[in-house]
Amino acid sequence: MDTNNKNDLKNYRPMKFVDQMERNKHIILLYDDQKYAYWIIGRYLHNGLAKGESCIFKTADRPEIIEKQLSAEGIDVHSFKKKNLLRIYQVERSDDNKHDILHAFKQRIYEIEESTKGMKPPYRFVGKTVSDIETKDGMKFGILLEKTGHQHFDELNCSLLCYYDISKMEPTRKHEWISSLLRNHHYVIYASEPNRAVAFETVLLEQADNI
Amino acid sequence: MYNDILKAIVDEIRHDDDNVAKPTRVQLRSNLAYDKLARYLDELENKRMILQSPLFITEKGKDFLQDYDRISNFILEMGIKYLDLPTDEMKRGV
Repeated sequence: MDTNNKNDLKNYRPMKFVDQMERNKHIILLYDDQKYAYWIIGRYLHNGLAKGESCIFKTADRPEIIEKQLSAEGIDVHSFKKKNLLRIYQVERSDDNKHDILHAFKQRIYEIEESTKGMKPPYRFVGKTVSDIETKDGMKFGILLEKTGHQHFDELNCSLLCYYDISKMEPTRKHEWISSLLRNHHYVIYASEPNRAVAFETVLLEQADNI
Repeated sequence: MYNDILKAIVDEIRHDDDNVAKPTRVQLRSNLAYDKLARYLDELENKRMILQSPLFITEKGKDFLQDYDRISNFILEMGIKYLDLPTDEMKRGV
């Protein structure tokens, strides 16, 4: 990372929020530029690793690609893998059976169990919960999956950062998708240009209309 | 409304010799009925943005104030239903 980037990163507004996030939270990272998304992901994992937490990056991409990205964010991937604190867990995404939410949810639970075998809690995950965000069916299914996951989140006993490229999201009902996604996460981080980026607790959106 | 109340607390603290915000003064500044203000203050305290005795803004509350414009812009840009923003402002953003 060059000096300019380091200074930008230092002043990037959501970083303070990332540093202060509580454990066992369901976090949504919305981004329109992968560079900023990886700033957040890098910091989130770095903070977990610094605390001795087990960090798992779930991906359908080749692990080497993710490792390269994390290294670029200053994470000593090789060393943390050796210490069994970092794992890049490759998953197959055949796009599930879009009619069977229970099956898909069970599959995610299975992946959590499999991916953490031999590691010690607390766990910190990064991953794409929804693989198909470009179609209405994909988004509907994904939101249902996020909702189910959020309802059972306390049972999972981990932190989970779900990331979404909003520039690729199905456009005709984008506002609705994003609103629904926010309702089913504890924190939102918007990784965009430094003057627009922000992070906050989604509970702030649920301002009491009964006051 | 959170923003208005937090700003009123900050202004009061700034203008008070003892650096304390008095609820009645915050009520005047935020132009709310006292029972309504009391419920907002409870909610802000639950969200750990203020302390009530004495009335004080926390670091988290200060961060929220600092980020308020960005949060509003994000909400408008994303077209998220946000109860605190006037309807016409929401429509402009969508």
